[in-house]
Parts: sequence; structure tokens; C-alpha cells
Amino acid sequence: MPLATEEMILNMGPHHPSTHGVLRFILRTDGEVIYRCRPDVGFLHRGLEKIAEMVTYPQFMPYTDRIDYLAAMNCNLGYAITVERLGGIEVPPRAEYVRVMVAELNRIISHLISVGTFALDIGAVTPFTHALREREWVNDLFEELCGARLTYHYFRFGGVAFDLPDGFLDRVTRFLDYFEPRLAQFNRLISTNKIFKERLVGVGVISAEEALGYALVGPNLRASGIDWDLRRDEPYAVYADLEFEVPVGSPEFGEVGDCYNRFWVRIREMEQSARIVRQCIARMPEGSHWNRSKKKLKLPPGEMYVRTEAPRGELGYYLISRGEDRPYRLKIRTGSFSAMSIVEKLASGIMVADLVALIASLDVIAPEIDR
Amino acid sequence: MEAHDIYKKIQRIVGDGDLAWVEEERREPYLMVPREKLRPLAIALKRDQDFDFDTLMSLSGVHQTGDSERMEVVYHLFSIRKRHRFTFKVELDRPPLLPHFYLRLDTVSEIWPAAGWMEREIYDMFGIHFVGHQDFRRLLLPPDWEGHPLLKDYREPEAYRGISTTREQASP
Amino acid sequence: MENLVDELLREFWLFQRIGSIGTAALVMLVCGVAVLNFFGLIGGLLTFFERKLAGWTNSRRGPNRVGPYGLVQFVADGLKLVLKEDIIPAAADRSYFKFAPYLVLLGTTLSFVVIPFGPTLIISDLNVGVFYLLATGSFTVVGLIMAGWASNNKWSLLGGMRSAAQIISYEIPNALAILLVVLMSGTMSMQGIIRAQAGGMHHWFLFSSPFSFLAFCIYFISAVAEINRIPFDIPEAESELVAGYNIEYSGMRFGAFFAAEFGNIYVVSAVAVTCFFGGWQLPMLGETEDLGRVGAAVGRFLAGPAVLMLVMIAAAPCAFLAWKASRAFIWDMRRKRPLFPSRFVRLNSELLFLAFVFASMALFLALHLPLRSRLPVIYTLIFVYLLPFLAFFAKAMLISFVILWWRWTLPRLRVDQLMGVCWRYLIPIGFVCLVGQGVWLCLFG
Repeated sequence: MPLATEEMILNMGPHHPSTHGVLRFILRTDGEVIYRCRPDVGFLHRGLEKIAEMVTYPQFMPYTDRIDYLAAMNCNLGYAITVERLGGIEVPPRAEYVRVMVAELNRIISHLISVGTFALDIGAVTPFTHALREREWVNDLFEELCGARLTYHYFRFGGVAFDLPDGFLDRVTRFLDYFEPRLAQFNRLISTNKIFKERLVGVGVISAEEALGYALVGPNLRASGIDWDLRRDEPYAVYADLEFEVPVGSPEFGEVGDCYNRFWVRIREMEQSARIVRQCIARMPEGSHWNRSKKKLKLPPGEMYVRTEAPRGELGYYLISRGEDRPYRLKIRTGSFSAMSIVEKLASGIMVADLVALIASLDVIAPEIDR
Repeated sequence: MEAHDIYKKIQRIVGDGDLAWVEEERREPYLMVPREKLRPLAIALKRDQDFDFDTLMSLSGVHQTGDSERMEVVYHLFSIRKRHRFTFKVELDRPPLLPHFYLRLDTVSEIWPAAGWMEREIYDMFGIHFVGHQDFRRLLLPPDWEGHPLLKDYREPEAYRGISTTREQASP
Repeated sequence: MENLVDELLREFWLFQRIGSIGTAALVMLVCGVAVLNFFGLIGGLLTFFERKLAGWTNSRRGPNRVGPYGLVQFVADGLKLVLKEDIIPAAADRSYFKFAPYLVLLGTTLSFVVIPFGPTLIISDLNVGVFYLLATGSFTVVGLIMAGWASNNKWSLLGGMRSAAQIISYEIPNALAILLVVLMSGTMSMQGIIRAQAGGMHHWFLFSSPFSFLAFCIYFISAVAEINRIPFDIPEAESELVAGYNIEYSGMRFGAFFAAEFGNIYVVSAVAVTCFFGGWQLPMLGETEDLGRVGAAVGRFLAGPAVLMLVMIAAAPCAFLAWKASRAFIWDMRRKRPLFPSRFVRLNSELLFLAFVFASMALFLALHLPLRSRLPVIYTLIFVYLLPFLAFFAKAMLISFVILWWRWTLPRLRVDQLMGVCWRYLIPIGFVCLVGQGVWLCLFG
């Protein structure tokens, strides 16, 4: 009698400890091995692009925080730069340096959550709590700066909302002095752990061609071996004056394009961000923090696609203005969107545990996908 | 390559036809392409060695109202190896009668797989069909949602599956 | 236990009246209750230690609200679980759903029958002790599969299947390591294995030969896999399956699984201690006679006038600290409310606890003076009965600590890697160790 095994349809539903945000996957598996995985997104769709057509430019700034709430400063930055370029608004140099400083600090804490939850999904609980402990420092710094711990709404057109408090730069330096050894300790705890490597090396390999085809961006793209970083290659704000390296996936950390490389790219990016923040502190110019104009903001007619490097990849704002005080069309292109679109292709033939590792390594976050 | 040179070469490859090159202030230069030329143009942009556009940065839909109502689909391309970018748009009419019959476009998802989800999103938000797409259905909204929200004349349905969409009924 | 029954029957006419079967039943009841209570207590305390350990590893404190230093937390948790609503999914298979926790619990509690807490503190020193342990460990598998199936939930079915495969596979290296120990000691009885390691720490099977050291490593790894702890906890992997076979269980049914898991941690540590660490034996001392002699010697030493004076002087700081702690406690209480504690005031239980601890230490040391003539007898009893028990307990706790520690440090293995470790590494190495140990025994006796 022929041996028949039935397919099992599993629902890795919206409420699930491991999916990053509200995501749903419908898996068709043969026990452990997945035949097909269909992502079902849209649980966090809030119609941000429609809202953008209804509110004025400054009113939309808090909404950009919520595109990727773990990297709110970077989302703010992208939107501010888009509107400033279209409107020809100047930003004072102090504001530029402050912007870069907070954007890089936000990159550090966004990556902390990313690697922390990655380790949590693989089973190690302690690195997550340690990452959160490090994050608390920066949350406190940001709270001091702009009053919020998560969605900051700190950027304005022409600068930043509040000037740095007294002694802020010293406190940031203290944080960096504390953080860099802690990152080394984190690496000793989990990043070089044999079991961790076993789980991740060679899993979910995305070749460079695939990565480009599916428009992966950010650390996902760099881990597949493509040396592209918007901060260095299409500089905006003051990144052109700053020195930093761009980590790219290498065979030293497993196969190029596998989960382990994506993990290590983020760890190394954190080190580089710390370096950038130190340079910003050293060069912080004096001056005003906001080139504020009293007039109601009306952008001249035009359209522009501006992209910046958020922690999860390229965040692109395609803004079409018809001369009013609100956008005519604002399209937000996020990194997690493309990362999610590649999951279906990669998921056939891997095990459920590997799917969890894959999603964690792509660092998807639901609000970015759904907007 | 500069955008204008790209346009020149495209003219040679795809033929002059109804291509229109737009270069205005505060706009990136873009190419208006008729829908029949979309596929050959996309293939040329991807495969040609001088262009080598390997990344589809963004695919957006726009509902232009005003003097004439039309839909635009905007393609932002980028080449990582050659470090140049290019934008082109396809215009679609949206007549008041049977609009969905006219809102059809060839898919580019075999050329740039990233377009798979991007085109699904445009369908979801604007109602433009992409012919030849492998897995064509709504992306963000539930499959039984009526209407395409990002259209300028979109009106929210009163209720979805019996749940009211306005606040008044929610309060006791 | 048979000795105890015989002794009781001989000595006391009450038991002669009841008859041998009655006496045996009574003794079994008392022993069973005692050991089950111990199991409950140790299971609960291990959950408490795990949470404290988890807290400190995660740079936070563990529970510290309920009771002094949070010690009563496990009682609160147990009470909560008992009082919870008993939810059975509508489409679940009711009888299997209800029966499964009992099987899992059975697997654990049956193991306590042969755990040697002390030289005579064992419920029944079966002459197939370790073999019996391997057998009862298999009850768990049936219970888990039953739980996974009866929950009518694909995720718990997946968890149950993974768990069954894992436990069954890891029983083999488990048995191989134990077989090596049996080879070295010549007997399967637990007390026999312990006595075969008599004569000091270098006789412990852990240090006897490189093969037995390897056997310990194999045993430890497969034991951790048997009890579904990280790095082998894929059946209950929180981030993938929510809780594996446990998903649909709530209330005391879940409590049964939970208690079984932590009881299993202790059982597995106890077996490791018995087989490799010399059981209840203290490093320098040997059997009961040695213990008795040393105990008497210690008692005589402490009864000498100079040492006695030192002991009394040592009691003073303890009494002082106890007094200070109680003063602080009363001051704290008075600060919050004038006269008596009311239900709105939270007693500072840590101070009370410290006061109690220091007071008992002071009392213990102070009692040396009035009882100085009976000190040798008292210390003999302590050394013969209490100290081996404490030694066993401490060693088992140390190994449990390692098992708990691993959970918060290591990630988990994927299910095929887990199986790979078992079948491709542990089993071949286990066989090599077994053969090697045989050769070693032939060569070195």
C-alpha cells in the first residue's frame, strides 16, 4: 500500500509571538517542511497615503513617525528632506548635524530591537532583554530631547523642533562609551554562539540577483553582497562630511546572503553608527536649530522622489505637489515591503523553524509594509 | 548616463512613436510612454548593457484629476551598477463608463520581481489591472472590500460586513 | 522501606495489631505523601529559582513581591492555577485531553520511588533501579502525544509529534550512558551505584575514566533533551509554536505539565548525581560508620571548653543581627501605621525573614552550651542522617542550576539538528564510550 502523507494547512496567524508586528502567514506544510507560504498583510493598513492628501505638510509629520515606529527619526528625516527639496527650504548647519546625530542614534536602537528579537525568535531570551536595556538609555536621551520615547515628531521643515539641552552631548558620549563594550559583550553572548550559527548559516540565502530583482534594500541588500548605502553613495544631510564604513555581507560570516550575514551586517552597522554619532558630537556647530518661517507652507507645483537610508532600508517619498498646502499624492516606499515580498519565494522547501529565522532576519515590521 | 542620453537611446531602441519627454522645474525628468510600448521599453531598460536598470525603486499610481481625468503609473528605476536613475510614466484614461475596461496594463513582474507586490498594491488602491501577473489579488485590503481607496472620488462604504464605518453608531 | 516495615512490626505492638499488610500500606502512604510533597515543593522552588535566575541574567530582579525575596511566589502561582477556569476546547477529545496531564505527571512522580536521598532515605531500593527509571521516563511520551492530539490544534499536534520524536530518540544515549555506569558499578540498584563510588572524590564515576566523563556529558545532554529544555525545547518553542502541546491547556491541567517539567529537572539532576557524582556521599567521608565516627569526633571537638566558648561568641553576632532585623521590622511597621499592621500596610517580609534566619542560627549555636554533654550523639545523628541528605540535595541543586542557566543563555536547535545531534553524534560516541570503558575496566580493573 503506498504511503501517503497529507498536507497540513497551518495558520501562523496575526497573533503570534514571533511575527514582527501583525503579520499572517498561511503555510502549506508536510509536517515540518513548507510547500508554500503565503503572507497575508494589511492588518496594520491605516491609509497613510490617503491621509497625506487630506492634511497639510506639517500635519503629516507625526504620521511619518508611525510608518516605522522603531526608526521614527529616520522616517521624519526622509519626509523633511523631501519637502525641503521641493520647497527650497534651507536648513541651518546645527540642525543638520543634530538631525544626523539623532538619526544614527535611532538606527542603533532600531537595530538593537532587530537583533534582540532575532535572538528571541531563535530561542535565546537574554540577548533581547540586554538589547532593551541598552535601548532604555537612548529612550531616556530622546525623552529629554523631544519628550517622547518612541514616536518623536522631532523634525520640522527647516530644522528640528527643540535645541539640545545643556549637557546633552556629554550624556550621549557617556552612552556611547557604555554601549561599545556592551556590544562586544552581546557578541560574546549570542553572535558567536555555535548553536546560533548552526541555526542561521546557510539558511534563507538570497543571492545578489534575487535581492536586486525583488528590490531589497538596506542591510538585507548589503548582506547579499551588494555594496550600496544611500548615506555614502547618494549623500544627504551632512553624511558627505562624515567618515564611516558600510558593512557588506562576507563569507567570513557564513554564506553571503544568508540569515547570519544579515544579522552581522546589523551588528556592524551599530558600531559604525556609534562612530558617526561621535563625529557629529565633535563637529556640532553653534547656531539656530530651526529656520522657522512664519508663512503657511505651500509648496510650488512639482514632483520628486527622494530616498534616505532608514534602518530597514531605503525609505522613499514620492511627493507630487500641485501648489497647495497639502500633498497631491504622497507615495511611501519602504524596505519591509520588498522584504516581505520575497518571503513567499524563499519559503518553499524550508522548515517552519527556518521560516521564523528568515522573517526575523529580514527585519520586517508590519507598519512599514502596510502603511 | 544622463537622463536625456537615456531618452535618446530609448528612442532609438523602442522607436519614437508616442514617447514624450518632460523636463520641468522641480521635477525629475521623466518619459511618458503609451501603454503598448511598456513591455518592450521595460525589457530594453533591464537587459540593455548601457542601461542595466536592475532595480525598480518604486512603482506608484497617481489619479490625476483636473482638466482631464487620467491615471498614471509611475516607474522609478535605478541601476546600482551604473549608478543612474530613470523615471517613466504610463498614462491611462479613466472614462466614466466602464473604467475598469480601460485601466489595464502589462505587468513587469517577470522583468522586475519587485513589481509583483507593488502592482498588487496599485490594483488595491487604484483599480488598475495588470495583465499577466502571476498572483493577482488585493494586497492590503480584505479580498471582499469594495472600492479602491486612493482614487480621488472614492467614497467609503457605509459598512463592511455589517460593521459600521462611522463613529456615531459605535458609541452607546 | 521493607526494612522499615519489618522494624515497625517488630518494635511496636500497634503495628502488630494492624498486621503486616496494614503496616506496609501505612508506611507506603506516609512515604508517598512525603515524597509527593517534596516533589511539589521542589518543583515549585525550582520555578522560583528559575525566575530569579532569569531575572538576574536579564539584568532585572526576579519576583520579589510575594513573600520575603519573592519566595512565596510559587505558592501564589500554584494557587492561581488551581483557581483558574478549566477550559476544554469544544472540539477536543475530552477523555484524552483530561487524561494526558496525568500520564505526564505519572512519569515524573514514579521516578521519585528510586531516588536515593540518603543512605537509608529511599522509598524502595529496587535492584533494577536505573532500569526502572528509564522505563518510567517513557510514560511522558505517551502523555505528550495524547495532549498534542487531543487538543484539536495543528500547532499542538506539531509540538506533540516533535516532542515524541525527540524524547524517544534521546532515550538511547541516555540509556547508553547509564549502561556505562552500570558496567562500572556492577549493579543497577541506585544505592549500589552510589556505594560503588565510595572512598573519596576520585572514585566518583565522573572522574574515574575519560570514558565515564564523556558518558556524563552524553547523559547530561540527553537528559536536558528528555525534559524538553533549551537548547532542546523545540516542542514548546515559544516563539514558533506559542506553547507546543501546551497551547490548549489552562489551569491546573497546565499546572500538571508545568510541575512535571520542573520535577523532571530535579529527577534528572538526581540521577546524574547518583550515577556520576557519588550520590549522597561527602567527598572525604565514606559510609555510615565513617560518618558516625566523624560526627562523634566533631561533637567531642565542639564540646571542648575553648571551642565551646568560641561557638557561644559566634552566637552573639547572630543574635545581634536578629535583634536588629526585628527592630528594623517593627520600626518599618510603626512608620507606616502606629500600632498594628493593618490590611493596608505591606509588611516588610524580608526583614522578618532575616530576623527569623538569624534567630534560628543564634538559637542553634546557643544550644551548644546546655547540650554539651550530648553533642557527640547529636552530631553523629546529624552527620549520619542530615548531612548526606544535604549533600545530595546540594549536588542535585547545582546540576539543576546548570540546566536552568542553559535556558537563559543558549538559543534552541531546530528539530532536524536536534535529531542529528542525537543520532549522529551522541549515539556513536556513546557506543565508543561503552566499549572503551569495558576495555579500560579490563586493563585497570
